[in-house]
Amino acid sequence: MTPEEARLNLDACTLRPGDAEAEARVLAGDDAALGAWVEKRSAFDEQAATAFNASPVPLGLNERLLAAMMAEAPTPVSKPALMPWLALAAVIALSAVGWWWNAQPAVWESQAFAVVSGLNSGTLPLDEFSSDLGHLKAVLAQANVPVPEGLPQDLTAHDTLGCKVIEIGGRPASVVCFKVTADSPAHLVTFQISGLKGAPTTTQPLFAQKGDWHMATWRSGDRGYYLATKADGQTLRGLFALLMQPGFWGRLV
Amino acid sequence: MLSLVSNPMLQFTWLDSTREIEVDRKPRPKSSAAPMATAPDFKQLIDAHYQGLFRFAQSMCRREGLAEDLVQQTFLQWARKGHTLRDTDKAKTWLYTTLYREWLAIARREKKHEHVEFEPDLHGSTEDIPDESPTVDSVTLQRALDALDEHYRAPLVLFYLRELSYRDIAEALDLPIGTVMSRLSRAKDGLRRILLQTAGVTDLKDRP
Repeated sequence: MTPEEARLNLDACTLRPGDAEAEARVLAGDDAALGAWVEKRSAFDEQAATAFNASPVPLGLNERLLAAMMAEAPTPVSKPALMPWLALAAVIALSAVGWWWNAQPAVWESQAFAVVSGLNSGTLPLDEFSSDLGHLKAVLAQANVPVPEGLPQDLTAHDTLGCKVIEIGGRPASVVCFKVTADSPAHLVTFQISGLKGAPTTTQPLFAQKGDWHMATWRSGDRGYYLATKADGQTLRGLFALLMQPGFWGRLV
Repeated sequence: MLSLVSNPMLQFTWLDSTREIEVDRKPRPKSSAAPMATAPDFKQLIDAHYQGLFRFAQSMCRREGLAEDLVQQTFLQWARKGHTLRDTDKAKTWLYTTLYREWLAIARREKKHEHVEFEPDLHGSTEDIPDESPTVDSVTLQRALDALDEHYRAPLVLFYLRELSYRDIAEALDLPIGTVMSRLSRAKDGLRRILLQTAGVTDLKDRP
């Protein structure tokens, strides 16, 4: 190895000295000038690397990426086994997959979450902007997509931001965004539930949490609702305060 | 980012004008050889690498929106093809390689109009660099990196990310190891020179 080759190799390893070739390290140890040069170079590179890795990364990017990846992940499909031991392995694997699959959010839920994450972060644009829920419902009705009906008064008391036509489970659906707090909107996804695996089964809202997201899901007739917000769980539950009063659902029926 | 609530019109208008990656937008058939990755797997992978990938993308394309798209496209490629990678230890290099290829494809399509960038061969590389070490912060560093030619910027950014060895950088950029080492060395010289020149200009401006 020539001194120039050693210099190049050491220069490429200032931040990871362990990656340098042994011969280059020996040369740097024997040559005081080369050693001093590497030391100075390393000091600058440390400073530059620290500065570079201090540059900001968009807030919530990791959550948006996860939502997109989960929406993209294909559905597993089993293959028939040809040999008994392969069949046994397949059965075991499928059982594990079945267990895993049941533990995962339904496909419609992942799709709804991907949409609301995109809307919240601004990577998905709304189709229509309006603070008037009536106007948005008219727009959605004209687009022939499920329109939210019979919503809790505590939710409809808030201004809307806009709406968007989307797809859930391969069928048209809609999302309406409400300004429930000053900085955290709530996104209401309305979709058809017939034939949708894992769709909401109760008319009373079921609450869930995923990271800093709080969600409520419920059904009304053939419509499923998914309301998600980054506002705290208490705020979300507050939107259903009237409905949660004892006997309310009984009186409705 | 501006709050959606505080000014939704402004935000969505801006987004509509943002250019999106055009690749691979068609619906894809579900494959029976699909990956069986779980949410925790994806989450771990994303949390470990999204910041580095974003900084690399941002340094290459210089646009935040496009950088986000590039990172997302990279992870989506992983969701579809990552399971074909036999050596899972290579996941990091695979991600950087994929992002760089996505960027090259976009850069080729865009064919940006010519502008002068720093190239050590053309812009005074024969001059001696002052011995002093310039001071850097993330803003001045990014500005100096932007002034470097892409061929030098790509390996240097990957180097400063501390994520990859020079051998991994060579693999990610599909370059011979010797080329990466010499480009790294020249890129560092160029960067120091730009930082020193910029510091000089600032000093002059600051004089009464």
